[in-house]
Amino acid sequence: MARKVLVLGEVRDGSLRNVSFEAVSAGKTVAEGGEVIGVLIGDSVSALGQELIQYGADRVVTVEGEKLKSYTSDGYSQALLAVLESE
Amino acid sequence: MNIYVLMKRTFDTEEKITISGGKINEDGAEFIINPYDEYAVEEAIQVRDAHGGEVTVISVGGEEAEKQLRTALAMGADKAVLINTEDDVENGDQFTTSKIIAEYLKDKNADLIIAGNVAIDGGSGQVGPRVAELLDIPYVTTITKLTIEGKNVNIVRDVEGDSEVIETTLPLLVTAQQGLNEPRYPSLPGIMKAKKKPLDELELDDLDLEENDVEAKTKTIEIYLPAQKEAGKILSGDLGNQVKELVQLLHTEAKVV
Repeated sequence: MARKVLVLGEVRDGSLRNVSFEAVSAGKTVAEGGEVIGVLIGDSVSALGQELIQYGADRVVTVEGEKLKSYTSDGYSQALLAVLESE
Repeated sequence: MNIYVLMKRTFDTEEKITISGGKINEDGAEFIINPYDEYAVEEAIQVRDAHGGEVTVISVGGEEAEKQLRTALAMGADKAVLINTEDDVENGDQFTTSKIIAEYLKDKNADLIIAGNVAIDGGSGQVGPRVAELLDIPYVTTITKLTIEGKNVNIVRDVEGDSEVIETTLPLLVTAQQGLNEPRYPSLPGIMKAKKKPLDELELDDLDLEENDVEAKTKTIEIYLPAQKEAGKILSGDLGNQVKELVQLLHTEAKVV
């Protein structure tokens, strides 16, 4: 069964962490042919989207804002929730 | 200050884990307070001693958890509550535990809730944050320093080796990381006193919860031990042949080239 899978990428010091690539790979297994969508949240993450696609994401949604520069549970969950709702 | 500690009874770190019939074998195993929860108990006692108030330690589990709750009382906690789910919950998960704890805490006016950052058995690290979300209060995880002045709280937390300084306010939930403090050993008078301290036992019924209110959101399909590490292979003979053999093995056995 094809499933739509969202993968939240993790960014540290301006670059994607390896665990994000592992997550994309796991997402592809779960998706069974469905769409794998990477999600990146931060103050400047657009440039990293391409890399997530190179590792197998079909497309990437980014949420950028000054207040998302440092991780906060509240900020990031709000941003992720907005992506979930729009997808 | 009204302080609550979330505590879990876990396997002793020295125990060797064996599996029989798809379950972890508990026969004859030693159990302890989850080490991170021990930091939580210690911190709660220190906060109470500095600011006044009362420390209540809560555990969700079976009858056996009474022993670890008594240990927390012997360390210096004032009261203990065991929410006994033995008869009602068969395969609970983090949702189950968080829901039960949040239901218990919702009318307790807790100023500060301290949990361990992770339990050394399940290792999910979810229950603390989930309880805070359900209670709609702020939370900070993996803390290594806690300073309280009035309603204001100053925290240092460990972020994978880096330190982050955070300001927030009570009521608050925090989860304890190694380095927060040095948990005390229960003293002999402490152990004697602990026997007389109140330890309440509750069931789902007492919290107005039905079994399906706390039904697990996840299902464990299989439990197994990690594969045994295989011994390495040492090639011998002429160096040229060794290289050939290595390439051959990488190709046919390891399948990496």
